[in-house]
Amino acid sequence: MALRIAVAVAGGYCLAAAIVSLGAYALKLSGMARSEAVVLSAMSGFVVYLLILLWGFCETSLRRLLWALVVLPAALQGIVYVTAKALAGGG
Amino acid sequence: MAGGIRQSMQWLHTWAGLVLGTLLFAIFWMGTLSVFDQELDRWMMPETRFTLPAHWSLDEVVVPAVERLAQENAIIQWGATLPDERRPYVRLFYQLQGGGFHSARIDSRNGEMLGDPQTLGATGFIFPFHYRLHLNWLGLGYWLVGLAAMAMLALLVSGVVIHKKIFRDIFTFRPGKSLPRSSLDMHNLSAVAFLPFHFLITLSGLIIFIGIYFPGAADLVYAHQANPGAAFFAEAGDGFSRPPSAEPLTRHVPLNSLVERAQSHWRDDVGFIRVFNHGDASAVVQLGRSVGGEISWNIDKLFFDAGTGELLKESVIGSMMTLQRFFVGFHFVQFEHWLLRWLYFIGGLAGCAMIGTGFLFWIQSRQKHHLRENSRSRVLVGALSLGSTLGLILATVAFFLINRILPPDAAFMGWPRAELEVAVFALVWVAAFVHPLRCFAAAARQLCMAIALVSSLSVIANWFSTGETLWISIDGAHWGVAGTDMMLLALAGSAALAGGALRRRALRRAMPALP
Repeated sequence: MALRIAVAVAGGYCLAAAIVSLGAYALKLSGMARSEAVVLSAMSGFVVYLLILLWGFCETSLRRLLWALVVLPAALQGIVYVTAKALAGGG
Repeated sequence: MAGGIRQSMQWLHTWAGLVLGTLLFAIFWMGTLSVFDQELDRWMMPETRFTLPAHWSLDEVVVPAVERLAQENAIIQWGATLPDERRPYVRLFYQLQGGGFHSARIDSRNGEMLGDPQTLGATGFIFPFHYRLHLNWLGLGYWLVGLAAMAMLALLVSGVVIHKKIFRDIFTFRPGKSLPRSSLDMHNLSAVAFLPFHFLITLSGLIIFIGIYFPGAADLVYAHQANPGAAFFAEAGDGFSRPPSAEPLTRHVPLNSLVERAQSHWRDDVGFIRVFNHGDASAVVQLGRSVGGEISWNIDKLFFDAGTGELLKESVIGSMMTLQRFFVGFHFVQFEHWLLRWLYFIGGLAGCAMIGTGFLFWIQSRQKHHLRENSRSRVLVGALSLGSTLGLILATVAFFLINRILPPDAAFMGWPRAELEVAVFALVWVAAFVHPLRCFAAAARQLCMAIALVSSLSVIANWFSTGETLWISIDGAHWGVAGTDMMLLALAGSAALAGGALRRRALRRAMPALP
């Protein structure tokens, strides 16, 4: 049970944060002003996190939970990290 | 989790409520009081109990005060929040050459400094407690509040899901029934009736801190900048800056004339002024629009050249940022509307009642079960719930009382007066967690009586320390002081009634045991 809570709260946050970061970047690529993209994405992040939390506490399969809230956030955060590095390096 | 969504939600609701209830009650209680933070400040800082003069001006009041400060140490920038009906003094901040930031308060009647307030007051203690719990290490307070706020949203949703007859419950209150039933009714009543308010006030509270809770978005989108977070805020707020020229400023445009131009431009008041590169030929005067006129907490700014008065820039923010500012203003309730301010206060109290009765229901519904076990967990949860609800209220009124009792310049073991007030708050709160460990029922009664006593004493201490009785406050139109006194008396009255009811029940219970 402790594992489930930790996964839902911490893993859920990492997933929401990754979606917010990538969402902001995607909005910027789609032509929205940079600052606007950041604000819209971050504001939506709380609702995204809430939905992830609720799902995390209802999902019966621990396996699916670990995939969605541990492996997926790790992968997405990896993409965020690599993209940010590339952007910083590219000036 | 077996048993379907409703059971999972029930589980989530019970345990998130129990574990984070203490935090949630503290955040709701402090937030509710923060609705009237300026009024509480007038009560706690008697030197600020004066009426804003009908005519006062930046050039006559603020500029001479800043010049006096600048004669002692070179000032590189300063800013001032202008006084209003609720806060009649000017709140000044200034940065000295070499970096240090300082703050001061200027009397709007004569331009004199008001001196050290010797208290954090409501704006310095209660309001920051609401969003960062005064835990500044690693921003821990912000993250705990954020976690509690997310839990609050999850509790509201799960609370709705576990309800079978949500609309009927709005109209159901059975105070005469057995206790678990009554407190559950009260829990549902306060939760369902105020559901939209509680959801939006929590969500908007989170949205204020997008930069803290989701810093990754700006870090990625502004990854090419040296400091992505700062670059984002500069761009989102559409600021303006230019480097100092190292030449002295030779002529000054009167600030009053800039204020008049800004007022006619916005058809609204100016709320904030900031001067960059003070005394330098490239000095910039930034005027910020007042936030009192509309719900949205605008960040409209005009930038002028301090020498010529030329308009350098008008900030324009995007629609998403405007939406974010709307949420911020909705949460901060700084717009001028007394009826709405009272409704926020009532909504906040309803939130406190919801959390408190949630605790109560948990304890009562497990009472029979635990009587058999005589379990330690019930004692612990009982102490936790009493300490976090009644205990926090007692600590708050003790904070008010000690503010009116401590003499000026009081200090103890190197702690200045302002910190002593906080120490008393902390001591009383801790004691209120420990005390109920011995006897839950007696402690509830005693805490109620203590709240009644300390609240009434606070009102009396205000009379004695300032000579300002309730009728003098009302007569002098010191509504903040009069309102605080009346609210303290109302709290004393209701706590005494609750304590009395608890005592009668205890006596009734004890009766059959008598020979």
